[in-house]
Amino acid sequence: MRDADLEELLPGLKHCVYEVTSPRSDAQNCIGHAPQANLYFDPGVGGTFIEGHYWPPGIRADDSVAAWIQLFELNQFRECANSDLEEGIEKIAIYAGRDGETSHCARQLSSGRWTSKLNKLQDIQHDSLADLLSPPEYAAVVKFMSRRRRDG
Amino acid sequence: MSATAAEETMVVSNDFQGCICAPTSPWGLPPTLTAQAMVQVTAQVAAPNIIVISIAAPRDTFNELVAKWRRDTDHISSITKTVMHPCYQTIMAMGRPAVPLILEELRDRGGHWFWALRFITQQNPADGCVEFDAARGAWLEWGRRESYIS
Repeated sequence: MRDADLEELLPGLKHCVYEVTSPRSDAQNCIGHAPQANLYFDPGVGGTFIEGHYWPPGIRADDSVAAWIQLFELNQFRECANSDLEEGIEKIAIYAGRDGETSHCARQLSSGRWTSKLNKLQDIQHDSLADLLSPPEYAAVVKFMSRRRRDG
Repeated sequence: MSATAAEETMVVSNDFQGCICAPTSPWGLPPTLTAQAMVQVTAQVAAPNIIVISIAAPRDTFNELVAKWRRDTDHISSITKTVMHPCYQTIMAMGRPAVPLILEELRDRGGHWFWALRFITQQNPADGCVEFDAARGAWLEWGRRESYIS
């Protein structure tokens, strides 16, 4: 199922194969979707926690790539070189905006496709990381991480 | 009654809180919105020397701000960027008159409104909630208890 509003927001979707796989939800963002935790992970505003969100203690509290790496390391992900499909390995890809701050992350399925919770919007499955590139917010994929696959 | 005398005896609703924040992001405000459109101000002569000013948040303006805010930020993870968006800041600047509109929006369509609600009301019924649905439920219960929403 395609979605015209999503395609307007992320024009790369117009020219690729993707499916919407959930209704929109504020309860989980891309970070929660990547390690499969039903939470909206956010470090708060200027060091102030905002209820309705979660950020683990001891993790750098900002939207930097370094902070997200720390967060995913808590879930046994480690930095890796690329997004190539490897048997028994689960990978995630972190997107950043033009400002260098994190904006999104996607998780690789065992089929090689990717699943993305588009933050407050829906989950989608898409063929390629490039499908979502859409400056200024989804400007580039800046980091790959991996761990041993748990979903078989 | 001179203008000076009227100003001295003016009763201004204490409900209006907040500030008008200058947009600093590239998103900007919808072009049809001006500072004058943010709240509706009406004045009534209640007694010979008393003018009562009431301030309401216009629903059309609110809806236009929400639509642009959602369009610009729904796909972004960062709650800092979400709540610092000029449309969200403008809604916060509406102050207490915006509270019933925010709570209706939260009830009917969701949205990350907890920062605005806490700022405007200086209350936090969802204190400590880390799950979105729990925080939403706590604020809606508060809104019903305070008669902002049904």
